Amino acid sequence: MHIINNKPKPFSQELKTVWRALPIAMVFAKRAIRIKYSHTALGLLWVIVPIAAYVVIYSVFFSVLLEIDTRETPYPLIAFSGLLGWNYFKDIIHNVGPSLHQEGEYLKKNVLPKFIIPLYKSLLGLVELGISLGLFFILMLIYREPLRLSILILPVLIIINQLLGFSIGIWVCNLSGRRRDVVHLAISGLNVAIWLTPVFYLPGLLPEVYEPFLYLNPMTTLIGAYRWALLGLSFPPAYAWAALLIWGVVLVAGIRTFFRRQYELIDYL
Amino acid sequence: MIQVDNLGKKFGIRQQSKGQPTTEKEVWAIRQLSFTLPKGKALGLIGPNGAGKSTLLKILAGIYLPTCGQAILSGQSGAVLDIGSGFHPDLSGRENIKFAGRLAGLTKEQLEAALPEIIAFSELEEHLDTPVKYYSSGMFLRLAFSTLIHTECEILLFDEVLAVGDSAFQEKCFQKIQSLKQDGRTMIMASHEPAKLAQFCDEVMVMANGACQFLGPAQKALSFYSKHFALSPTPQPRDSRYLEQLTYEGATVIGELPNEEIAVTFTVKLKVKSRPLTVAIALTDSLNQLLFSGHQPLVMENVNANESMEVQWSFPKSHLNEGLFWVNFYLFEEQNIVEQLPKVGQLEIPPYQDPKRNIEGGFHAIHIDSQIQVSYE
Repeated sequence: MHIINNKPKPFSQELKTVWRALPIAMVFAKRAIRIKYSHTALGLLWVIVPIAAYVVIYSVFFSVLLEIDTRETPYPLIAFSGLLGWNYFKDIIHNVGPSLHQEGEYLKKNVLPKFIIPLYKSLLGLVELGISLGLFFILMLIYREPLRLSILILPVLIIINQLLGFSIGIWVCNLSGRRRDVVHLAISGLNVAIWLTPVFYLPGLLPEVYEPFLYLNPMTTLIGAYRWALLGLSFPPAYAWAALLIWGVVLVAGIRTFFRRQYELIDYL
Repeated sequence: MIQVDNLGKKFGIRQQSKGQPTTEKEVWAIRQLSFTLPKGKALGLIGPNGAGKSTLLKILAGIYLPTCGQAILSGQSGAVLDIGSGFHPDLSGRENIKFAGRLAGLTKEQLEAALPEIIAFSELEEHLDTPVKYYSSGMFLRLAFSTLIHTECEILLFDEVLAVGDSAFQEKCFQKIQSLKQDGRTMIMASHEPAKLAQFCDEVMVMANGACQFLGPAQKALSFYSKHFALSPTPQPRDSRYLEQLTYEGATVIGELPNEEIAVTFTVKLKVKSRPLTVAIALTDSLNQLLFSGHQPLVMENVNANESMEVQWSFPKSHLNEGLFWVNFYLFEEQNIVEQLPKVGQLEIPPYQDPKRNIEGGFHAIHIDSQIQVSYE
């Protein structure tokens, strides 16, 4: 028995529906990845090209021209480890934010829980992250950087990365109903935020008084953790992790709001 | 089972025009809709564009939320609301079937089990590994329809889609739909083709402006539809080489029961008098299917150009069942139709006193006296 009316369904029931449809999200994600690279000669190799270009360009700028001090760790590894987490974070927001608009025609003609759309979009960046990680290990080998045991924590960091990106992405999605300014705001914001986050530099580059402010940015903490796990740099301070918890609240509120607004959003499409 | 109770859906539509502030207009796409559809029945939706048919289907599919009222569905619903919208053009037919099947709630194992059957039904074996962007719309329908009917969905919704298949496939769909109904699946389909609905549906709802105008047995609802919403009678012949004027004077009943006759009268003015012309008048039912016609060669010596003459066509009334009929006018020159004026006149037969006749009226238009003899041993 299935009742359709305009009363909001309880959060738990919505979550259950999404949980049941989770395999569908995986099928969607697989299909999207296959489509993305299906008409290319090099296929997944295209993931490497932009990353390699970034790493080379910033290595030339920061370590050769500006001579940034990264202590004993080679600069390309610093830049690349920063890009790993950042790119995944950025991909999620880029994919999730406008997802309802992009799939509007589909959503209006097909029966599926709407949450599946932003959810599967958030998973697409995983392929690129995986390939980038492989590339990173090759780079570590070239620089004779040892593999540390702390690398085992990597899956946890990737999950945090995923949730962090999704918490912002879903809000972009929620707020871009009738007007889509928020999507543009988010994309421009990311271009600024990459410089407020120690992606191409280490937190130590700034005077020590500013460091706590840097750690208000959750990506600072996460990238710090990536560098700790992969390169053995210092672990982010405890207060940074506490600040990260705020984003858990943002995430849950974002999902709840999505469930409440999903039909309204569909009407605007 | 589908139970719809006072359902309504309001859209806020923004009006944008240059140099003026945007205003918002509220439009009720569906208003105060209530009906009950028992398990194993098929309901047809018909009505002019913008009547709310698609909106209703989308609410039942769970795509839109109603503004007020509620609908109770006895099971999961599956829908084909558009040809190929769920398919990705770059993926092959097989991959798309798998995707659509999973989306409609099949598990991986169920899908593997159903796949051969789906493929067989769609008759697309040869094209299964072709990207669907090379498919025709008929092939899309085969794929979508075959996949959906092999899922567990208890409620099936179709929007304007069954019309694109060829007649062989439609016949197959028809058979399949009958067996699905026997399995207890409930169906709602929207269409602009009354004949299709008459074939597939038990009941038909005529919709206009978001509201139900008529809900009842298919034939009766379709008569209602063709009376109120189908094309209005063709007015005058324009740029005709043969006809100056044609007026439908109406139909009258002459004679007494049981030999009542219907007389259909036209006033005709011809432009030419030299050619050998034949007048033909035909009767079509509410679905505009031809029932019978009368022909009469004109005696051309007696025809005066631009002078009216009266043409009367009569036939026994008792052959027509209750319902709505169209009168069509044709001119023949030898074997060729040179002038045709479809639906020039309307004819309505009221219900008969005899209850046996009224049962017939719900199913077909023509009555011929016949006997069924039952021998009990």
